[in-house]
Amino acid sequence: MKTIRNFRLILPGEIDAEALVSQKPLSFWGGVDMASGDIIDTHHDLFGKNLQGKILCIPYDRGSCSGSGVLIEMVRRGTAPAGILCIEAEPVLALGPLIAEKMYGKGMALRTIAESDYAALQDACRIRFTPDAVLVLERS
Amino acid sequence: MVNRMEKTALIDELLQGQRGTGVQYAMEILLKMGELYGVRRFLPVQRAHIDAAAYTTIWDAGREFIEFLVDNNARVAVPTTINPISRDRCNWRAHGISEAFALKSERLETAYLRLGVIPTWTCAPYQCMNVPAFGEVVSWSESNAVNFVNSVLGARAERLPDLLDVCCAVTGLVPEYGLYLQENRAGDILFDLENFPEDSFQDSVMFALLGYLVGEIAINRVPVIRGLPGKANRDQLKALSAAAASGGATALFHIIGVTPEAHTLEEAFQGRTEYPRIILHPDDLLRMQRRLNTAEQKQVDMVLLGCPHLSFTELQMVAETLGRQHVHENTQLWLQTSHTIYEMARIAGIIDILEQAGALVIRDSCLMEMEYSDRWRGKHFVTDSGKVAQYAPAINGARITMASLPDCIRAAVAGRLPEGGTT
Repeated sequence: MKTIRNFRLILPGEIDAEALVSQKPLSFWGGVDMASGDIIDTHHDLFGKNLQGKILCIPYDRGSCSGSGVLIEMVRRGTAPAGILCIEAEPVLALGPLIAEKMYGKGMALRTIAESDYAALQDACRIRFTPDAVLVLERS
Repeated sequence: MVNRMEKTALIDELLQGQRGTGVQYAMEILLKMGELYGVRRFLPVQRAHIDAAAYTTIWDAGREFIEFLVDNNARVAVPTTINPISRDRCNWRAHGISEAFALKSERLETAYLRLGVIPTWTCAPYQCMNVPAFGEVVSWSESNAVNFVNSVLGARAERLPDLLDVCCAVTGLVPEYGLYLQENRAGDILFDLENFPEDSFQDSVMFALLGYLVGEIAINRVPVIRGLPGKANRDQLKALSAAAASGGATALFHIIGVTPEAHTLEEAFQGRTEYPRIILHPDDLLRMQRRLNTAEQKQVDMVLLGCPHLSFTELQMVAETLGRQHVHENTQLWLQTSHTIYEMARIAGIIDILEQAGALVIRDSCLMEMEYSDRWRGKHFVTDSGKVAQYAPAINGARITMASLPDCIRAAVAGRLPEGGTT
């Protein structure tokens, strides 16, 4: 178990879930099917995985501005990840859950960690967001 | 990172609901985002562009959000253009869209019209109706358009997420962050083009390949490109903008001697002297093309042009290249543009030529924003667009060949890829 104490909380949420880890950026628009939560970006190494209830670890998001629109619908439908962990959480990732919280009372946790901590995530299988840390359980 | 935020009398007025609860709601969201991202103040804008017009980008949740604003008296505060919608309002039945889906799109279109947008329905507002000036602060969205107005026009834009762009348009304010700040507009990484022949960057597809590769490497850093042989026109820079925002998350790039904030290397890097340098050779672009080319078949099902929307000049080029030839009976040629440009092309007699050749000219929409279906799964798309190469495999299940415009037209006429491969 690794403990990362140096994190930034963007959107609240104490969660414990299976981790999906990639070193590649991902766009929710044109990269994720909002109805199922499946990753459909054929160029991505997480292609075919399902995001629902998971903690998605991506370093950054990809270009499209529409990620927020897809994420708000996923939070509304319950297909969104439980949380996202990244190096830089651009506003495209934060806005959807923020509006969903305001409109539907349902959100998604979002935290960022340093690049060096992120690089050490590759063997993570489960992640927990506690009030004062990001706990990483690794594959044995 | 705790910054004190500057709150003006206008912001207080909006927060107190003096312009209605819709605008109040939008201002509350802006303020919350401003707090999360350490924004110190909001800047007034005089023009806006909204991204989230297509039903397939914001779905029912987004539509409910727009309707909530409208029902609570929110209207755009400044002239606001808007992105393509999920259907060609004049001809959607011909594009395989269901009645039920068309109704969903119409409901969202109606909400936006009530919000007071200028219905340009285009992802390239900078080629008609909405052209920001150098240095102008704008409220902007749509990744290719943000990249284009920042890099090619030198306006100040950030990649506003869908629905935040709407909040900005109804308040007339943008949070000052990212590329609104001068220091963040400096280059972060240099790309040196070496050994490219003088005539190598003639076609948009070369710019798309370069853009995709640079975007992929730079991710969200500001790339500076040096050594582009010759000049680049706006259609080519449009292709580069869209591809760089799809291959990575580029929202601003500089090309030495071409873009307005990069007369010299020193200007592009704002005096910085330490930065990573990447050398690109013609082989790197070829490898990029091979990586994006996922089609194994020679037979071509669809030639897709107009991502971003075709300009008048590009429609002219397609018509001239087609001449009196006809599109192959087993192949479709889709040309995507706005109704404004369509109408000018119609007056000029270009639409007649294109339609007689068997091309389908799509107005106000785009295949990747239309109703999702299995119609194109496994089909072979030929395109000059890096954005199509990134997203159509996921959205439409398509297989891709990237080709120059003349090769795209050859493929449409022959129904298969030209012998000897594409350029």
